[in-house]
Amino acid sequence: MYDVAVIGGGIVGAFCARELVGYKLSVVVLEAADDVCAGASRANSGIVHAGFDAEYGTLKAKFNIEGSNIMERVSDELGVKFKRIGALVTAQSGQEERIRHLYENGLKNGVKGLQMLDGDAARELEHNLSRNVVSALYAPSAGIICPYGMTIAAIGNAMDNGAALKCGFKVSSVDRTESGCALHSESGETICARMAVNCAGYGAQRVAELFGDRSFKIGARKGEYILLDKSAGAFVSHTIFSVPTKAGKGVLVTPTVDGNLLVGPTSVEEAEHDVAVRRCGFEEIRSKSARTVENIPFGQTITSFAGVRAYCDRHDFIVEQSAVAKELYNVAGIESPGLTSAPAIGRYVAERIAEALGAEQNLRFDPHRKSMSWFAELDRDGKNEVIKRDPAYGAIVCRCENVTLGEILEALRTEPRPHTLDGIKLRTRAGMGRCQGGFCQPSVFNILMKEYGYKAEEVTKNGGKSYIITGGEL
Amino acid sequence: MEEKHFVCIECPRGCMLTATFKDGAAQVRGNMCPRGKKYAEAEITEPRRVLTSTVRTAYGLVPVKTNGEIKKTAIFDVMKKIRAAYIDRRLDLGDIAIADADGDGVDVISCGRSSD
Amino acid sequence: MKRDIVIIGGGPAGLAAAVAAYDAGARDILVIERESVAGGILKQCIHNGFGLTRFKESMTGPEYAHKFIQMAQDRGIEIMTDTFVTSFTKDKRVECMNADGIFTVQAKAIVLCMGCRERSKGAIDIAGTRPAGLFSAGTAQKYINIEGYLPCKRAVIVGSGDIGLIMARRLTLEGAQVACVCEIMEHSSGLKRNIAQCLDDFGIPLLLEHTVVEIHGKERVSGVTIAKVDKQKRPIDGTEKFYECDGVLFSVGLIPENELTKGAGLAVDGRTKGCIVDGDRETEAEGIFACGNVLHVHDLVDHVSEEAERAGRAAARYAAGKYKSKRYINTAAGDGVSYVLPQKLDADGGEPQKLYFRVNRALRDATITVESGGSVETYNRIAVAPGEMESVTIKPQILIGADGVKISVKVRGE
Repeated sequence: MYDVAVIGGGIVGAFCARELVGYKLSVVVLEAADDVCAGASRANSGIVHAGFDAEYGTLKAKFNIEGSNIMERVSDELGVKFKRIGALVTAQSGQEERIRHLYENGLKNGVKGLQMLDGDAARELEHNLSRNVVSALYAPSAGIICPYGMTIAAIGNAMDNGAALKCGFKVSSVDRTESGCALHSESGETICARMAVNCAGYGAQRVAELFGDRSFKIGARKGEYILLDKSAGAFVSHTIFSVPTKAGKGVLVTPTVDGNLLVGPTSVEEAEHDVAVRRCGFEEIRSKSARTVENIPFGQTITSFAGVRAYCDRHDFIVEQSAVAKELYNVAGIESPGLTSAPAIGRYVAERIAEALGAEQNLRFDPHRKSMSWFAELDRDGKNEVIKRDPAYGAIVCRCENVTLGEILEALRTEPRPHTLDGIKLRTRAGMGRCQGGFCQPSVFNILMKEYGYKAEEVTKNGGKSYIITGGEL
Repeated sequence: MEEKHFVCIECPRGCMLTATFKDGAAQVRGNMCPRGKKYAEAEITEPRRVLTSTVRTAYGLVPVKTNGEIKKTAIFDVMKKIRAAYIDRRLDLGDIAIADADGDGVDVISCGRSSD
Repeated sequence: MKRDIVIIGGGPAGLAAAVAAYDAGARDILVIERESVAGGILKQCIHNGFGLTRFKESMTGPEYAHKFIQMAQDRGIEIMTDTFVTSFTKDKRVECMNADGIFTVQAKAIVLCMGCRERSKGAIDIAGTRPAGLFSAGTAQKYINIEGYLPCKRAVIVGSGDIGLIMARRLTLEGAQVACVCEIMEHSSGLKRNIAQCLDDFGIPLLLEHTVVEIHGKERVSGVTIAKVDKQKRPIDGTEKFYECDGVLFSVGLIPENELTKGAGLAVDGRTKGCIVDGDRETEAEGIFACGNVLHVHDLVDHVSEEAERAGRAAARYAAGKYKSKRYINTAAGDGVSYVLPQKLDADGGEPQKLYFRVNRALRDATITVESGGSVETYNRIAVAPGEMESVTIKPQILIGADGVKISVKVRGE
């Protein structure tokens, strides 16, 4: 019997769990996939939004501002790279009014440092901006962060402070009990908890309905992205938005915190969770981004991917105790700016649940986690010292991203432990570079087999039946 | 007159060969060296290939090849032997892994060295 | 640590450069290799056909590599394995990392032999999912030939580069099916002999002017949709066909691996994706040479060895201080030619110069024209193709006095 079961190991579940262990509560995170960070949290723009576009008075606005305000501290505690590089929302002729509206909305929300710029002033800040840009809203407090790095670090920090994690646990039925609820998985396991926090992303509607709560509907909106090599990472130095529409914030062009260039997303309504990229999606990304930034070097593309944003029919975040099942707390419809908001949402939810369960603060809670890139950040002498103690840190496995054997082994032994090639990739960047694992995948494959004693046929890309080898041994 | 066309595989040049038949004998055109003529003649009568693969040993996987051409029709039979083989010793460059693999006296020999 | 010559990379180029540098009198040579065994990509190229030009015999990749490893060992050349070069500078400081730590080697001359990498499948626009079972051809080759696993049971191969063709045969021999090889261009980028012995021998269809438009499958790939393309290489509606497979191998081109080179501030040629070099394969940075696939992608290792020996000998001369300053004239690609290498020549070198080039379309009965100032020389070829590097050797006389004269190479077919 746990005090709290957090359903969903994405960014929202991660921060709910991390903040919940700040109280004297036993917490378990239930993740349907074989690794945490399997949904929208691993495939999004990685932006810490300044908070000018969420409409004043909404939960989106509230949590966006709060989340952005604490991002330095949170990223520092969790050892996640975060850079406040600033954002420019660019307007073409005829769109000036909408930029003005954003500016005023941002002021009401309390966004600091907002400035209206004319086209030339904007181009001075950002040389590759299109000549068609006539004005821009400059938001210096916007930033970039690694979304999967932050999710993994927050769950890892929760686990370091006592939370349990169960992957491959897809809640398929719920028994509501006197003391709370019993959650049954597809594979026949049961977890009991006094309260459940529904952070299931696209699955949030389904989970709520298992509790008899039909108060909201979740839709899926696919976003496709193109990722460019680090050689193109300095093509822009801010996040460049076009004017937002109802469907989202439009196609953006941004450096990533790891130094690549990211262009996207598109916005496609889907009947179900589908992450297939479309040919017309590539064309849309190229043509739309060209309106804001000229001559993006798409020849340096290293991969394309899609993520699914789970939005709800209330057009705002849902962060509330269920009206029909008091043991259920819904945290649903967390689309953009969900990444920015997650730390603030987690804190808010933990406070409410601690109050409901009468839990005291956990004074032994340690918010700090070793940086995932601590080795790469060392100077030469520091690295030499580490290599002397453990020569595995002197052996580079991924030559594109300079990831060492030591770092991969460490990731394999650090909670939440990866059991798949993608899991290692998300934690270490091995295979994330320009050759996309062409050289290092067989090496990482061998390291994974050796660490867990897997047979070759058991190793997967990302769990389930995503086997790497299907033809067996020669 | 019957004509047959081949791409010579004897060297990277890949000459386009044409063989015409006259009184049972083949006339070869398109070859830039004598090996092309020989190749086309063999393709008409009995095509032969060098087969390369790997063999499992107690000291890891080792690359191997047939120490000469084998009949094209024998390729999959020899592959079957190579795939079934497990060599319980170290192999050095040129060592015989499977003797007389094709039944015509061609051995499968090592092209590498067993690792440690 | 100080060394006369540091060679970055112990593949075919690095080994040949080291041996040639030694034979030209250098003794203090260090080859730095990131893997635990020298030989580079040849270790996994277990097929035969290597060495025909150079050794007049058909060897497998491992045999060709061993020949050079043996030559290096016979000369006592040091090959430092399991060691990564993390950067180098124009003043020839080479930063290295291995299990002993991070250290710097100060060289008198450097030879860049880092080879190339495959273009990733992600670099091309293919719609659909991103399941397991998508491999670059070289990665699949490593799984089979080095690790000993068959990555799939039924494959579609995208791109008809040599590695893709070789892998079609290799998969077939090991019991997998190959549904087809599809190639977006109207001709294969691989050698004709490989189409004959890797595809035709096994009845594997080659679909020219076809491309994969969609990848299917959620966890593991379950198939691909292939369509015919028009002259602009756009898929033609209505020509789509589904091919069931549990593996897709991408053989869509090689790119010289010049990240270290760029890090040192050296310029890279937009066409070859390698350094701009002279006949000695000296880059714009004095005493830094480049050869093999890091300079431009070769189709035959025999040519890599030849080029590397040139660079190795020159590096030995440079390290010994026996290097003269040069007066350059540029080479240029004319009609029908996509690039010429070297990009510049020493006008006063006094030696015959071999110019390598690639044509941009397949031609039969081709005439190659070399113009230098007033002189025009012609050479004939029965057939030329983009997949097969060509070369001509020009006499030194045509360079003398041709101050600032460009050399152009033209190909004209009938």
